[in-house]
Amino acid sequence: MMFLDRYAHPLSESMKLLSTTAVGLAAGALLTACSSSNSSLATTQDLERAAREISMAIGETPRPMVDTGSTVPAGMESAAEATAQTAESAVQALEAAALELEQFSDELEQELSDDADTAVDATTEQAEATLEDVTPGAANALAIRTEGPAIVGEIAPEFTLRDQAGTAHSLSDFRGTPVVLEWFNHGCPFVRKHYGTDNMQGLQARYTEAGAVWLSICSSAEGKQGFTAQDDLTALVEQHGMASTAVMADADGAVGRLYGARNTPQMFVVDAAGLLVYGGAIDDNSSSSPSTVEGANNDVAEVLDALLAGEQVEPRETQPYGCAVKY
Amino acid sequence: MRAQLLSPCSEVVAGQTLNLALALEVDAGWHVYWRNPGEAGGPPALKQLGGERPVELPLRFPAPHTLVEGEAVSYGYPDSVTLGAQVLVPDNLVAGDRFRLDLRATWLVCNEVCLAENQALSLDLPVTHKAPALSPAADRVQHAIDALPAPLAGLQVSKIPGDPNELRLELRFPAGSGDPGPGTAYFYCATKNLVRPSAPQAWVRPENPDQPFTMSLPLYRGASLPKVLKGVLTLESSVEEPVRPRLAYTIAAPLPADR
Repeated sequence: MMFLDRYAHPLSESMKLLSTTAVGLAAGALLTACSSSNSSLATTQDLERAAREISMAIGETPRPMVDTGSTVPAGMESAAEATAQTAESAVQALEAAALELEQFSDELEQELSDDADTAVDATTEQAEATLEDVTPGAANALAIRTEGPAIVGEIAPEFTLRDQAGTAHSLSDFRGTPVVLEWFNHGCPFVRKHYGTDNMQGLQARYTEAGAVWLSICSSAEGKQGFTAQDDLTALVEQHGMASTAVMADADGAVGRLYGARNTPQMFVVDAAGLLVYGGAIDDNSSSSPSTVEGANNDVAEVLDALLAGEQVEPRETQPYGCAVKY
Repeated sequence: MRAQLLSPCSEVVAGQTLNLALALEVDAGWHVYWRNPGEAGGPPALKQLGGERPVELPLRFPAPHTLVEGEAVSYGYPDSVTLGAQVLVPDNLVAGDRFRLDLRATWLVCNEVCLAENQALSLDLPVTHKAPALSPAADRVQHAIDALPAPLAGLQVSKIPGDPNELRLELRFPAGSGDPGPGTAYFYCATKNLVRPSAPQAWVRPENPDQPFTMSLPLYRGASLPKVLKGVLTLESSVEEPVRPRLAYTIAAPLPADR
């Protein structure tokens, strides 16, 4: 029986110990886009930092966010009002911050050297100048943010891509309504899981009908899985019965990298004010088997239901699963 | 790619635990994944058919490698890999019966394309009452099983309290074994979405041999720690000549709930 001794080990401990445990991810820390300055500021460096924060909060190039002409989607006007209210509170916060800056400026003028005085004056002037920029238009609640990375809880970075009809859309065009960003690659087994079961198309139809904008983005490079040429997007939409607001090709991967999109599928939700409130997985079952769609907890649907019901949504992050984006 | 089921025996006896190997043979440039695939992909699986419903057989994995795929860092194998699996031969079989095993292997294989594939695999071996004969694959199966990471007796791993965004560990090797000398270490966490594969792990060798090694594992923001940290620790010596193999130990370290 020597042979049996050799091959008939009991189930080894190491195997048992390696059994994978699913881990739920708690929500990430909330980062506010318009953070107020710290009242314990005492140095020139701190003043400069506060001024920088104000500049970032109101943006370098404020512009009207919402075109209130005939193209406003249903439900957008009330969302725009909410945005305007947010704008007013943001302006109040900025004014308070500027007041603080002036007070510190006064204190420091007495205490600091000539060099420091010059820096303080410059900082104060900069803060006043930026305040003048933002005060006339209360609709500039959240600036257009042009640089990445995308961070959940902060302003969603701006991008412009063409839809299947060739029309260019910028993310900021949709301020006033929730926007879903879906990264896809129709060859990826994890994407097929959600399209083969009509789960993704169902979500697209449900939430675009409810007033959200749904942008499906493919960042596959030419020659790699999922790549679709601009001229072939319409056929792709028909083939898969996609019900998105727009289907967009990002073949150079610039928008995918801006958002740090690493998987397909990967989802982001931007609220009506332009804040990135969700980033991560479509649901909580990371299998590629279509039988696992049913019964999975859909994180994106939860966030959208809350936004569309006018509820406050705490920014939330999960880890996406799927194929790597084929950049 | 294709899967191959390897049995070390050409006959079996009733009640025997049979150590099988599942060889996943990929073409150059393709890869399959570890049990925790990291930031992309999915693990292979093996199911036994023939009952009321398929039964998943636990797989034993060799130490994985990190793979960079676009913006994702995943855990897998840059080449073909042989996994371990075990089945129990029913004890109600008698000499002269046949032991028939029907399995289905599923896997995700990727390069610039990801494919979900599956393959039916089967075994049909005669049952004997004496010591069963070795099959031609016996050496290959044994080699694969020998290559699986195992616990290192006497290796102590404990958590150092600190930053909630990282897990700091203290490691003490048993006297005279386990440490391959100066080099690098990497901990492959078996729990998905806990340790961030895309962030570097710090490995610090103590100046005084009486002191423990320390290791820092960056965690995903908001991740909650499991009661037991499970995974594979790999150690690679920086000494190039003579070439030393990469050492791999399974870890199962209880974590105090003070985080």
